[in-house]
Amino acid sequence: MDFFARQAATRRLSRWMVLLFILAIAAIVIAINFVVIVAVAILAVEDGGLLASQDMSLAHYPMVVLVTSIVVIGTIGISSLVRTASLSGGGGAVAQQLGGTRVTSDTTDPLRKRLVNVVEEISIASGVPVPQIYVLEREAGINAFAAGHNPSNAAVAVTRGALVNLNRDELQGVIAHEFSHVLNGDMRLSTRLIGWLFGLTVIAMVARLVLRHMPRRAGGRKGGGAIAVIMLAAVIVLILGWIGLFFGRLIQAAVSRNRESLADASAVQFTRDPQGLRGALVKIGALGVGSRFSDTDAEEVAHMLFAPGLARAFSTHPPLEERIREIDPRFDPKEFEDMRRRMNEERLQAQEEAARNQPAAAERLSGMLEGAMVLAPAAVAQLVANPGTEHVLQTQGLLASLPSGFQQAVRQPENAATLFIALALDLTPDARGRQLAFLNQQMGGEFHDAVQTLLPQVDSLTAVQRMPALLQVFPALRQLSRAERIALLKCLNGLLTREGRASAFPYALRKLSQVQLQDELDPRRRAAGYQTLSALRDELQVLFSVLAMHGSEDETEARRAYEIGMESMLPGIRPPFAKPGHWPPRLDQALTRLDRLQPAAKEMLVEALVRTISHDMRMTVAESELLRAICAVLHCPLPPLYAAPAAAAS
Amino acid sequence: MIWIVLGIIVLLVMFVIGIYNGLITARNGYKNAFAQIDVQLTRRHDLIPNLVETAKGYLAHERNTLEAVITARNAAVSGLKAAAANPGDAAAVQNLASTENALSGALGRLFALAEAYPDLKANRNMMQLSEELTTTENKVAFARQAFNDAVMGYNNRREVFPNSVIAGMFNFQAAQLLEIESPAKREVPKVSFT
Repeated sequence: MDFFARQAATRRLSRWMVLLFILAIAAIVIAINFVVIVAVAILAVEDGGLLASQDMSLAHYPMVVLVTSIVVIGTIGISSLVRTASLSGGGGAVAQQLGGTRVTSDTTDPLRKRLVNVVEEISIASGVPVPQIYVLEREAGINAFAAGHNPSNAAVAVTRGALVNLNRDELQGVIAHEFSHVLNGDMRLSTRLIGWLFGLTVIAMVARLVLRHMPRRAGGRKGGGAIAVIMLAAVIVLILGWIGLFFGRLIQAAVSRNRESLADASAVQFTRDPQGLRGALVKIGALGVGSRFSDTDAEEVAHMLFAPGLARAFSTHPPLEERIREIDPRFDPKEFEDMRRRMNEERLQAQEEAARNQPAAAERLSGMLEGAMVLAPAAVAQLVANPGTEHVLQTQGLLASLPSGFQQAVRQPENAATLFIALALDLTPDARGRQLAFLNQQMGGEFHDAVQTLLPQVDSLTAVQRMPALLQVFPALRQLSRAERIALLKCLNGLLTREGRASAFPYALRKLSQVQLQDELDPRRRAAGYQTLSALRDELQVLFSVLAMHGSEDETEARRAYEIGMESMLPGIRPPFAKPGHWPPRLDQALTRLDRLQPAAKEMLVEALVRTISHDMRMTVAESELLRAICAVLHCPLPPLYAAPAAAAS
Repeated sequence: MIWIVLGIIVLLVMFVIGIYNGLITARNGYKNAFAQIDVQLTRRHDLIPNLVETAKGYLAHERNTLEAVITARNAAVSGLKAAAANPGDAAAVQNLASTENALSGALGRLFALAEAYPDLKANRNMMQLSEELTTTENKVAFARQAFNDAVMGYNNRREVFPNSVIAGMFNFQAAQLLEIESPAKREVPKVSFT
């Protein structure tokens, strides 16, 4: 099949899809009409007041049918249009809605650079202009998709898993597959499908809303009867809505399966190398996560993906083995197992290599400890929940540098609790004595002794190692029983009140532990962010005063640091710098309230924090770790800030 | 009678003009396709001095290989210059192909040597450069396909009758296909039959 034949086939398929879609809507309209008429008839019989007489209501039926049909068709049509309009930004809009970050050609990250290069290569091979490139950083499976209305506003998105696990040739195969969707005009169809599918889902959503907001009980027997009928009708409409969705899935699967085989064939044609695509497919079969998406919004774009993103009844893709056999008829499924073994071996090798390079990592680490960094506030805000490859490597290096006995202790829940408390203890001797005494009475002597034996190890940790160590402990803590965790939280709260004149960093670490433990115990308690910065003026005053005072001994200097940060958030009237006295309890309260800020306000807050901390044009490691701890308490996880950009900046 | 003869002559001239224009279009087509290759090959040549500079620190005992790469690179630069001046010159294009192949060979030997030096392989700069070289070579390969398709279209148009007569009259030369092997593609792909 040549290019024109493929495009013609796509157009034929489009027409089929429109026909199927109209059939689906017609079926839904007829079914809903039926339900409504039955409901009206029941109501009319039961309650003469609603409609004057039997004859009158009969005369009303055409009207009822007309209104119901218009409402149903209107709902489907308008919601489809709205959804389609929300995608009118082109492929980039779809990628962003799935959490993609844009990659430009000036990236310095080696993996991203390779992606950009591969996309450019295939764009020369296929004669399609270079599309926007996105990476879905949160997805560990191997997957990709192309979206957009036409080649000029197309976007290609690739998961993190694909970037890491695939070699160059395999990535090329995957990208070529996506480009063939662009070239064959599949994307237009796919993007339209998203809108239509949404329209079909809306009926079910409306019915669910009606069910949820209907009063359960109404005064009077007759009113109660009417409500029951309407509820019943809503349930039936909900079921019908699901039928609509069923049709939608059916259409989606039918369109997609057909397109995918074609795209595989053209991918081989572009690259003239079947091995790349074949290797990518084999790796999907071998990888534990395969091509799965963690984001369930992916359902909407299931038909655009390189490989199935979600498990479901109507598969959007031909089975993996079948796809590989199309490329290589001699394929044997045993190869999945071989590949899995090989990937494991490679991972082990990489770990060994990292272990051998550990002295180098330690050297880098000490470099980090001494190095001061200059950071752009906006750049740091960009890093929230969005680490680059450098950060991942950095973290791996840090974890490798933790003492070995420590790493084993982290994995066992019973040791994790003691280690956790040991990490939370104050560093100053007298405060620590107070805390240990409290521990003895609260958790028992055995626990107290276990903590005490861990202390030398914990004290040997450097500032940069403390937070990663703490974050490592949390997964093991999750395995403790609920009662144990509550006891642990109580103990921690007790320790916090017995703290000495703490410096900000250990305080922030302990606060972070508390917040994490609380979230774990009661995930629903966290209120949604709705507060504005100006509403929380006093809390900001506390936070920034403490931070500024911590950064510099000199009070005028601290005042300046405070003003720099506050000015960016509250350009108008703002509370003055207040020299903090015994601040931990007040900061506690302030941080809890600040966690309820709107997301956009939080971003400004992170920027302002960076401004204050780096007002003296440098950021020490202690300061950057403090920033990370505060951000974590505010639920804006920040990767370790490594020293490399400082070299570039200075 | 004279009008009929005149009419035939006019038709004939228009026919010739049509063929001539077709040939010109096809020739411009492949010249344009060559420009794309020219960009990528120039990029490749620019990368090589950096590569040699980086490798020098690690491969002090392998002077010959490094010098061979530089020599091959310089030959390829002049080959490219000659071919870019006139992509229709078959000899120049052939010369470009042979100098590029020599360069690929020299580079292949350099990378084979680098395999024995893990430090060099792990060098960040080296990794970046080899990624850049790979992508340029792939781009050359893909651009070359487009060029060769254009050349083939032109040659076909030139050789069929009656175009061949007109091509001969206006001296349309045969164009040369460009055959460059890329070192990456010569590696045997890993296939396991177990």
